[in-house]
Amino acid sequence: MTNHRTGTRDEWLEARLELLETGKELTRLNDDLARQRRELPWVRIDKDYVFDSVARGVGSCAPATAREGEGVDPRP
Amino acid sequence: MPWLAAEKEYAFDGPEGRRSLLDLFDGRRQLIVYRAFFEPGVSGWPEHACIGCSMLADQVAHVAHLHARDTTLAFVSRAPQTDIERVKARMGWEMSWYTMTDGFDADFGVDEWHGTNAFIREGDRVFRTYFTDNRGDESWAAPGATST
Repeated sequence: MTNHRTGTRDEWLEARLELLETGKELTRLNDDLARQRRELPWVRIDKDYVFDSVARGVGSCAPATAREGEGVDPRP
Repeated sequence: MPWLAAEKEYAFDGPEGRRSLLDLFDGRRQLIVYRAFFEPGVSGWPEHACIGCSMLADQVAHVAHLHARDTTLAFVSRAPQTDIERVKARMGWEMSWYTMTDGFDADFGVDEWHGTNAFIREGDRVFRTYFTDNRGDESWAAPGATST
């Protein structure tokens, strides 16, 4: 027999709905955190950086091209 | 939260045949069941599952991390196994994904909308421990998707 508290369907539902409020609060807080993150000031990067990649060789992923192909699902 | 005993028997189809709810645990102590909408009549059929469920499936991390916590993750849908296997293979998804055959969805609040149920087993006894849906589904599978 389990040591954990067990309950009826009604007791379980009541506990779940109570916890749901905390979950919703967390979701709203997380959404608000994300919004504040997007509103942070930006810092312009004015130095050049170079990265190596296997596919296209040295320098191919410099800042100007690093985001090339973004949003394209590579899967067939 | 108190646990709720799951007294009824349920049957699922899997790649290796018929499985009970207890079988879905794969011998582990905890089972997380996500109901994904993938069936005739749902947008995308039969090429892919519903857009939200697909997004969520894409966020699922390697299941080894769940297994290390004695937990099995299973997706369940109404689609036949042949369609599920095809989409899993194409998308590179590795979680177990079963076909519902009975009223499991209605009994566990996922007949109308996607949702997540958590179960614990003690020996052969199964308990429902938690349920969440809507944005709650994101909280376990796709925390990154909510915050950008």
